[in-house]
Amino acid sequence: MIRFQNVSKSYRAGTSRKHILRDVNLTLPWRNVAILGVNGAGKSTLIRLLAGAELPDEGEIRRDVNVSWPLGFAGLHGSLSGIENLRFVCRIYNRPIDDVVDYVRDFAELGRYFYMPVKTYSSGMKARLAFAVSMAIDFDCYLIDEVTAVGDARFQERCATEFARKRENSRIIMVSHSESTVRQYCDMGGVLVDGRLDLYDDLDSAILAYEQAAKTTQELAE
Amino acid sequence: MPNGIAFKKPPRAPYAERFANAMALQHRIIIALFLRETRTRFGDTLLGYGWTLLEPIVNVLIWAILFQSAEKEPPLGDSKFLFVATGFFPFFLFRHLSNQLLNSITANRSLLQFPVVHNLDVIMARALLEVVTFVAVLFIYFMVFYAFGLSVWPASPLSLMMALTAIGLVGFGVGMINAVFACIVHSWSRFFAWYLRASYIASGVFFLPEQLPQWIQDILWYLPITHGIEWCRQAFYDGYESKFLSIQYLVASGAFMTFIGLALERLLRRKISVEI
Repeated sequence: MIRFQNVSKSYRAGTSRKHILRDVNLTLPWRNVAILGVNGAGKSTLIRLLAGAELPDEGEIRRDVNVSWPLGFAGLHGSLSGIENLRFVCRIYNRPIDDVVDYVRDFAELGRYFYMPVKTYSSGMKARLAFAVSMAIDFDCYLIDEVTAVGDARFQERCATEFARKRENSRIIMVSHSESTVRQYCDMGGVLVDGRLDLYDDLDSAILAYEQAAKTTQELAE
Repeated sequence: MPNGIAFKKPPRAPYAERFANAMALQHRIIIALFLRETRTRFGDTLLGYGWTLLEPIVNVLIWAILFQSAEKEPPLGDSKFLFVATGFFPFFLFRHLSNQLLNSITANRSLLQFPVVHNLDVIMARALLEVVTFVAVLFIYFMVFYAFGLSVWPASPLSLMMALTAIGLVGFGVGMINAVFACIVHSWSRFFAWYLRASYIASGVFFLPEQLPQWIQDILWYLPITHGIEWCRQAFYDGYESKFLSIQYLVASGAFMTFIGLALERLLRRKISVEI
């Protein structure tokens, strides 16, 4: 459960301020939630706020569960090798490295690159490593920012299998532009619009509300 | 509004246990960051380590040679080289701490995306690395000097250690303030570089404050690092008693800067976290 208490967050965008959340009070249940919103609504910021990687301007976000860092964000250091990056994450999350090293190497399919500096990786390899590292640490709730960008179809299939396995003990809060991905993983939705986060008990009404909001935004733009 | 699966909140652990857990967590994270910084700070090549080790000797030699041409005796002892060295090493500690901490938050933005890693952790980890590096460099120089038969044993080792600790405190405090300011004022690092350059000349690495006219002394008195260097020399040279030195001022300003740095980080935390 993640509770928002009087949370406000805004950015300076040029001369005006962009409000992402305006005095929001709500409770995100421990379910698989899709976060929907038009481009620039602040979905990635919301994910970082949920993670605690960024702080709200005002108010508080309280977490009763163990929340991951925003997946998809790498946090990998270029001059360290894959295994050194993994070691660092294991240290800060207090996981014995020996237990997960084989899992990450196999899952990320890096071969001998696992022992080479991350800056020599292709962007696909980086993304696979980042994803594998985050899967290696157990969380009650995984925060995912656009997982669809990661890897080829086969890799995504394995991600799906992995998530299915985790489903028993973990939940997902996910940002995605792909409706099929969202349908695959989530059973409820939140629409980020006009500084509000509207929660919907079922995914269909969330998607409907999102489409309406998107249409309005488009009309306003025209 | 949908209700989620009921999540039973575990009973809160007693205060002492929570405190111990928090300490263990912070300790773990600082060590992890320290190990990571050790690998990344000096780069992949040996040159990174090498320069840290060579920097003092190159500096001290250049200045000692410059002063050698001026015929005068050093203000203390009989070696100009040693005189400059006793000023340079304390300054080296101050500069490295204050300057490396300056970038600690801005350079670790991506790390701070891990919610368990906080601003203070990256600052502390860097400070730890700087102190360990300094002690290692100092130790190596002691060994080298000793091997060459230079008598470099301080008159009062304990006093020297206290002096260096006080300088470390000042460097840490200034570095913390720097770390916060660097997030908010973009040209801060350039400004501080000028300050460092000026205080390198002014803080008494190459002279004793007592040699200067009174009015200059009165100005230099406000530089904490000048007191630090004076204290080091007093500890190093037998029979030298500085009339300039105020240990209270040095320690008090170190504690004050650290307090200000901690307070700034606390007060501006939300503002710091915005800048990505």
